Amino acid sequence: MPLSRRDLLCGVSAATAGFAFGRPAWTATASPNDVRQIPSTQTPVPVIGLGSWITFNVGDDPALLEQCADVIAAFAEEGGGMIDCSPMYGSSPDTIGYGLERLEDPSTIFSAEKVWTSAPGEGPDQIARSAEKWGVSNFDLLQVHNLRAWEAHLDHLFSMKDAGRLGHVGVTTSHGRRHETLERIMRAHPIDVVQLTYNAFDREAEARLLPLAQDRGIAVIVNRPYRRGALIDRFRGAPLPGWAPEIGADSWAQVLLKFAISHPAVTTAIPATRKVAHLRENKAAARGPLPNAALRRRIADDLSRL
Amino acid sequence: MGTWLTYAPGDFLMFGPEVYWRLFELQNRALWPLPAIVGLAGVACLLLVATRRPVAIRSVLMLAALACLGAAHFLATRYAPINAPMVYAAWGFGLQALVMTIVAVIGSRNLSDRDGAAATATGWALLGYATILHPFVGLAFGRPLAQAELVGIAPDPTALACLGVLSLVWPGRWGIAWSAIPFLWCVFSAATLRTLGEPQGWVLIAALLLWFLGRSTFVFIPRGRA
Ligand SMILES: NC(=O)c1ccc[n+]([C@@H]2O[C@H](COP(=O)([O-])OP(=O)(O)OC[C@H]3O[C@@H](n4cnc5c(N)ncnc54)[C@H](OP(=O)(O)O)[C@@H]3O)[C@@H](O)[C@H]2O)c1
Repeated sequence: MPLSRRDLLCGVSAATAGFAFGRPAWTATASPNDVRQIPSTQTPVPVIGLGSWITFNVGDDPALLEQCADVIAAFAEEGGGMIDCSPMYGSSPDTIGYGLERLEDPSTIFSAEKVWTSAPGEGPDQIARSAEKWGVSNFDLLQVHNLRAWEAHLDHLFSMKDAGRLGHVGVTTSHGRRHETLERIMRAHPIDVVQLTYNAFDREAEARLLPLAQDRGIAVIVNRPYRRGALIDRFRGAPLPGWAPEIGADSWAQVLLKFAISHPAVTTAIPATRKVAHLRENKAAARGPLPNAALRRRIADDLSRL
Repeated sequence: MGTWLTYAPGDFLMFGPEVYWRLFELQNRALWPLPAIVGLAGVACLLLVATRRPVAIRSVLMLAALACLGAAHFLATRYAPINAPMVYAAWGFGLQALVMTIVAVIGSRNLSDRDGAAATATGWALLGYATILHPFVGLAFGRPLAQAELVGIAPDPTALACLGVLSLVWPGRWGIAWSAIPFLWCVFSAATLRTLGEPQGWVLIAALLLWFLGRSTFVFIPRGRA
């Protein structure tokens, strides 16, 4: 659901975003493709976010911590957006905290964490520890990671949201797993956000989940847009297809990302990277034209044949 | 159960190769000049074993116990922050330190025993590889010497050295039992390296095969023919 500039400016002023860091300041130069809305709260979110699995799990390696902080700084400079993490990702929450601390203005960052434990009683403590690592008092979004003990965790997250201690509630899955359960949750619970895997090769979500998200006004976060880099490796060295200039794609990464974010149900995609150049390339994928429905079909066909 | 079948080994990977190899560089730097000392101590151990004297063998076993504690320290302080279950592996190496101490106390065999010739050869090969060659193997795969994995600091060469020493001093079935922890570690580490796409995983697999062959000739072939 791309926004017009007018929508965007109204949306920003009315938004409840920036829950963790204060009101966001998305640039007036943002193109309509750059920023979308979380339907339930009208919160604007830049369409290209940042994942943190593996890439930000660097322990206390000073050189790699600096590298990650540079990526977060470049992300903020490029307009910011959603940074996604989980207590499952090793030292990634600490790395994010390290990077955020160095930002002069973190207000463009939309903080998305997860709760990941089979013991529902441990959820609140885990969330508190994550907040401490990030250096925030509240999160913009908390998601039940991989639907683990989702019923009990959702109860807690909804109560946090009601108490004004949380911006949005969501659930996640990946690799096409447990889509039936996800569908049931989307139908039965007032979640704001759903996170799932979607790219030109993993398209199961197109059949039911993405249309359902549109129907029910649930924002969609796309994880694994590059299948953890495997899709980029697959096309490395191959010439870009003839239609790439039509969508302003300069690289295979941008082709893949433009495909994912051009689905009308998608709110944001969260590619992970530890390289500033890749971060900028990913951010640039939101600028310029996106493929229409006909070209999307062609892209999926052509890529599956390559 | 159905969902678990959809997971591939790579889905359990928590970190990338660069982060992994840099752990050794950071540890070597933090402990310097210990890496130089343990490198020399490894060579000294080979010389001690060559003397075949019980007191020398016992000293090597005690040094191997110390090396296990060094590897446990690496696992707990460097590896666990990027891979939480490594805390259990650290306890495992702690336990192996105890095993090596027990073996040092309760005995070692006569190294000229012809019945254990294959196990002895394997033991020499593994101990020699772990102490002398393994620190340099990274160079062959394009990594700097600063990331060298050394016995007593890094878990892989420490585990291989334990397998080697135990093959030398205890070639029978009990020797296999004493080797369980380093063996399991090497299997885990080889799987991790292969999942990371690192060819060095094959080196560990080759070392494990060698260990298995050396051991099986002693344990499974009737005495006098091995
Ligand atoms: N169940 C869940 O909740 C769940 C499951 C999976 C993922 N996620 C979330 O989704 C995020 C993204 O998924 P992912 O990390 O699995 O994989 P991904 O974003 O599909 O791929 C990440 C890989 O792509 C490479 N890359 C990124 N941008 C690139 C570019 N422009 N050119 C070339 N290579 C590029 C990165 O390497 P470089 O560092 O070299 O750039 C990295 O290795 C995760 O980080 C996580 O936050 C959530």
